Amino acid sequence: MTTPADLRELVALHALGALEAEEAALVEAAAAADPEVARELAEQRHLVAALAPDEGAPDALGDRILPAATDTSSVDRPATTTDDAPVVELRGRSGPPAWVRLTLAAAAVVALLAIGVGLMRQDRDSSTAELAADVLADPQARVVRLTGDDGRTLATAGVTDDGTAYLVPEDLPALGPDEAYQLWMLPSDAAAGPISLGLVDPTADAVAFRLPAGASGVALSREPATGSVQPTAVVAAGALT
Amino acid sequence: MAAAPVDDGTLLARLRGRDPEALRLAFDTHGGVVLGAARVVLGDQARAEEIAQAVFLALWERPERVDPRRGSVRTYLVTMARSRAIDVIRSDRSRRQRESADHSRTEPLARAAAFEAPEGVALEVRQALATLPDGEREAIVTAYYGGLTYQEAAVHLGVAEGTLKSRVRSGLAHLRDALTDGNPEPQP
Repeated sequence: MTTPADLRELVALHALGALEAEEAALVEAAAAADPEVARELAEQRHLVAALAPDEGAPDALGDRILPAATDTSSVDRPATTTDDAPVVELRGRSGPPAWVRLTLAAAAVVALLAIGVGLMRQDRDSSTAELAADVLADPQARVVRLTGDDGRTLATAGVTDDGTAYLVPEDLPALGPDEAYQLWMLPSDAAAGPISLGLVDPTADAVAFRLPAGASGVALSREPATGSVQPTAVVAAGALT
Repeated sequence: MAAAPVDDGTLLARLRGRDPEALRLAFDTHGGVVLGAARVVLGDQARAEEIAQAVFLALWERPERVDPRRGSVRTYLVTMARSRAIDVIRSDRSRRQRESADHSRTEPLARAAAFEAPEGVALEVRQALATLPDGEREAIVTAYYGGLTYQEAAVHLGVAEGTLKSRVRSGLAHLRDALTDGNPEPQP
């Protein structure tokens, strides 16, 4: 169990960039849930930023950035629409998330309130991967590590305040020819059951999706190529809060 | 080139208005420290410049992600640059551990071993670091300038992980006090 004193130590270490991914995600989740933790993290980051050396900004670098920005100013922002991942808004939050139990027993009893199995946007050009990298590095975004049964991180998701999200597959097991990975939102309201966010190409560099309000976590399951109305075999899951 | 001072609110408003000169202004104001934050971890100018470019392009594409209530533009950019640099070195390290010994990043690790802040760190910050007890300064400098996790820093320093964690926390508190005494800037 993480005590308040432990958490304050972790906040300091996270601000310093000295945590591994799992503990960093714990701090991010705590900051998302508790404004006081968020404030302390912001203060520590501000302090730590003073440790960075100012090496001067080479004019040549600035001269490269401005044209690059102009060139990419029309890059679309793929996850700001919900067209690619049909979902249904959830009922309100209630109680602590039961996502772990829910996920591991997903195939058993939980009826879905709503299903939408769509192919999510998974561009192979560099823009989605770049945007995903930006979100994962964004100190104000929430990061979810999707881990397998053995604790290994199999994919990482970054979620911004407005629900724009990116999934970066890392080490997903290979699929058979008639199988697919399917991404699920795990609602805070456990009774609502997992909600499909769409199918995922595990070879994509990054996948854009939109995570509706009311999520307590996300999960990836192994499914038939056409997808399923409920998770068949969850291979990785992670908590958002 | 020295940039004229501009407050964060004005800068962000101009970026949201797609004013390219605002991006140039952001770079002129913060580019040096963003580059430094990446280079001090990577020990590689070219890769640090790639990260700095990506950070400023992200600012251009998504200025709304910077919430001034949660920190300054400078803190946001520096945190992002450091985070991306750390991702790069940890990814490199994982790959090298699978392949062979890690002989990279000689400069950052040597600096961590010497417990020295690099050139370019503000004089008042260097002076504040110098006021910390040795254990606290070593913990912070090793983790920050070495780009190490606290577990790695503990091994590097030959102390228990719990000791390292508590020294970082108390060290940052003392650093804040030392900076605030002479300079109120660290308050977000």
